[in-house]
Amino acid sequence: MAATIIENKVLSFDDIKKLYPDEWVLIGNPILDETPILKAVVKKVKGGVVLIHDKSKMAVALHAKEVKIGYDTFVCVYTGEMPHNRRYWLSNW
Amino acid sequence: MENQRFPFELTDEDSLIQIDFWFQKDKLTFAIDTGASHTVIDLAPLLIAGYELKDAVGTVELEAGKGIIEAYIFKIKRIEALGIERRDFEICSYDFFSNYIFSNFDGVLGLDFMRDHKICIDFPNSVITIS
Repeated sequence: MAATIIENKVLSFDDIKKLYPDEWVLIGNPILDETPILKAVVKKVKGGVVLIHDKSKMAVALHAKEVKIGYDTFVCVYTGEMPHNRRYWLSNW
Repeated sequence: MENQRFPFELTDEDSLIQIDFWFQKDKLTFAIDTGASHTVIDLAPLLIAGYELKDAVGTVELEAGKGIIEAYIFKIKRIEALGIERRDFEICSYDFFSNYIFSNFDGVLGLDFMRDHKICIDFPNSVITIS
């Protein structure tokens, strides 16, 4: 697993999705929709600095420590679509 | 403590109640699960937050839909969700993806997090009240 570490630049989430489709991205100092409605973080992200990206969330996680310095807050979100027609049974996950 | 109200969004009938979960400096998404005895977090966001496997204080068996899973137990310095803050909270963790879980949420908020509070989930009005 070799996640890609990239240059620091504030991007909109739409641009992030175009640049890194179907990947996990670690975003530093994310710009979030602060509307007080509970929903998935991916629906609140408006932009931020992509610090690292990869197809594997675990690859992002294993390299996160190297890229987080200098940032205050973080989100890690998937830029693609989650599978549809899925129902959940979470108990004792 | 006064009542705190948290509006939530269910986009369709298959949706879960997904909530903001502050894990130190990281904002995560958790699903509320009143049928889960314990709060569980994916291993990836835990590593992103700076924890390492050697920080685990133990292991535990989780009975999941796909069978028994060996999970790590971590003592977390600070977490916050629904206006409730917990410090030095023990949380179970395992790698979701290697256990065939691929989703937008990073964990499940279980009863151990909620049990000191009165929590009302008002579905017709899409609001959670904590008191």
